[in-house]
Amino acid sequence: MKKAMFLCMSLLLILVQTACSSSGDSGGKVELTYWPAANPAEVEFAKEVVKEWNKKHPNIQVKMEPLPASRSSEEVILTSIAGGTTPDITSNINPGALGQFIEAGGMLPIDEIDGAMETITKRTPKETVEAFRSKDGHLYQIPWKGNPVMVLYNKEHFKEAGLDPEKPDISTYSKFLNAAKKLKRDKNGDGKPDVWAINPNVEQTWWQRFFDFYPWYLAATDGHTLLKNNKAAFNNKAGVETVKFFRSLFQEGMAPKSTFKENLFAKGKVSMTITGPFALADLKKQNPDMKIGVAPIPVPDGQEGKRSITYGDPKNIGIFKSTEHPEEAWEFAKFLISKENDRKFLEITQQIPFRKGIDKDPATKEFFKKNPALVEFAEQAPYTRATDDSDKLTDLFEALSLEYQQSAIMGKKDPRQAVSEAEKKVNEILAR
Amino acid sequence: MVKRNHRSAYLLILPYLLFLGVFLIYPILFSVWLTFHDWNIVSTDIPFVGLENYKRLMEDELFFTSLWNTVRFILINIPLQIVLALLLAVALNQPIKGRGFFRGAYFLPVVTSGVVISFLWAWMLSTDGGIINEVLGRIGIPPVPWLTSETWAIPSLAWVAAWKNLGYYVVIFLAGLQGIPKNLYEAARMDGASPVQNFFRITLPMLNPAMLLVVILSTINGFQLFTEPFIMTGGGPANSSLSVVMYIYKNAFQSLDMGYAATIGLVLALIILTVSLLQKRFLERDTYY
Repeated sequence: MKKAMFLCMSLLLILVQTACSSSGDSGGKVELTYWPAANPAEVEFAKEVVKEWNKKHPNIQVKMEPLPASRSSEEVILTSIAGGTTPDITSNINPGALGQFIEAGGMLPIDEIDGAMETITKRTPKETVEAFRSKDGHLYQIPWKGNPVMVLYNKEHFKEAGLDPEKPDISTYSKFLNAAKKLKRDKNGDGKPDVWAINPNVEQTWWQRFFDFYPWYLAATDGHTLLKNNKAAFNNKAGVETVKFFRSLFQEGMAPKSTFKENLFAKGKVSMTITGPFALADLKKQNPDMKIGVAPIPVPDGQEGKRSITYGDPKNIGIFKSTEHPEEAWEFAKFLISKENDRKFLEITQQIPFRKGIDKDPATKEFFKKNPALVEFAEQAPYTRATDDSDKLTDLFEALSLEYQQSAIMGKKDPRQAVSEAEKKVNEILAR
Repeated sequence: MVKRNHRSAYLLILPYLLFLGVFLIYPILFSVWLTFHDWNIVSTDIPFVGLENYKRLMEDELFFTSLWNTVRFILINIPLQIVLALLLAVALNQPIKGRGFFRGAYFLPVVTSGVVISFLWAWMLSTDGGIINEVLGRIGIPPVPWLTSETWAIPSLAWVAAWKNLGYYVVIFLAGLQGIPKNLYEAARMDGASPVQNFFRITLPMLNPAMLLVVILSTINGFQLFTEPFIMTGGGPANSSLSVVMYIYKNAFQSLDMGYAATIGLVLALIILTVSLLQKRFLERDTYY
């Protein structure tokens, strides 16, 4: 009896396995699966590009499936590597999580593809490409696009508060806070502010720190990331000053201590917001008449002068090791990063492709004229950093985020103590 | 001959057995096995670590914080839910106008996605500009940080969960109410009992089986709190609304520590089992009239 059961079970398992792993490879035709990010603009871009490609290449058909939605795409990609359900190619690789994908044996080294490096370095500055190389010396990602995090401001509000809307004087902490004091306003006279200066997120969710602590820290340290030699390196003056800066914003009521599920900036309830170019399209839809200015991240007093570094939120293209058609996948990747498609990507998604001189290209001139806010982002793009590549990135940011929340937002812990406790926790996590 | 019969019987229940085996028994055994191992979900190397995960759990402050958060949630959520559900069930059991509509309306949140409901409530409970604080402000109450203070986060989540699940328990109570023989009330009326006496002497005792079911179900549900904090507070502020299941999720899918996540899961399952058994033992009464 046991034997019969065992037989039935194994038969079923075999059936299930073969059903899952049969891939579309019929009659000399190659089928590739491509996962773009699931946000509407990127899906629209992917749809157009795939349609065009499929028309041109009847023998290499690409199937587009937006990255299954989840809190973060890293989790989805990792589980797909574990479960053997990876696509051939994706354009949503976060360099900070790539180490995990490589360790799991999921990624194809791009530099081993003939002619790939040449194509890539022709498009993207060599230093930027080199910065994306992994610890083992291979390049597992094709640099694609970024979203420099910057300060967006409402020009109308600046005018009303008596500030210069064209050249806002907010480049240092004290200048920024001075402006913020003027921007916080009580319009209906009920004693509570109804327009705040800025709205940094108050939740403890780890990646929210990409939009407050992290870019500020990068700006203050001229581009130093949080780790050095696999140890926390942020317990310094810059780290403490950053927490102090946000603490003043919250404690002095210039920023609301609430969670919001609406876009406060679009509704005119805050004068500034911290975000990337991806936010522009939605802002235009929600409030077409708003005049938006873009400013770099402020730096501590006395450090001003050159352009500050910020978080670049880069997303790159990766080819999975599981692909049966690496050459075709690379051909498709090359098509994705072609000049025409970079321009199309910029126009549809309003994000910045890592292409040299994209803001000077005559073909994009008209576009930038229509979208002046994007010029600032395009200029900022080369002055960005990614996160440290650590398989514990989430935990690290989580630990930092908790301390930040207690000190900056809730005002409970002294900034110095919070930063040093975050350092301690981060080192504990790294030593695990 | 007998053996042959057996075989065909096994064959007939095979689909069910397979289903049970693949989707229930195997995962349970696998997760128990996982608690003695260290696995990052992708590696093929899964070292045996003995009782390491259990030891870590006993020393993990954050686990006990999340357990305490969940217990606090249950202590507010269940009484709130039962009292409201009972009141509504009794009301909806009366021959009032539009009874069908109300029964449907109260059941609607149950079949609505928890994510949608969490978003809606997060929006309404926002400290600045949320409709609830706006209304409270009109009567002179200063804004309450419903989701952003350590004091209020859990009570707010308990309220939202109660609001969502209410309809389900109303239906159970309604069924219980309809099972109470009418002659009991007739007899009571003959004896001159007041409606309040009716409720406490007849309705409540006769509802005991339904009550037991509701208490146990909502306890099991309560221990599995996840969607509301995940969407509305992210477990914050300062982990004050981190539930046990959220902590499991974080360990499993953020820290990729499957062994430890499985350990917390197993301990949670044992806690739920114990509490349910205790509830059954102390709340079950046989009531006959």
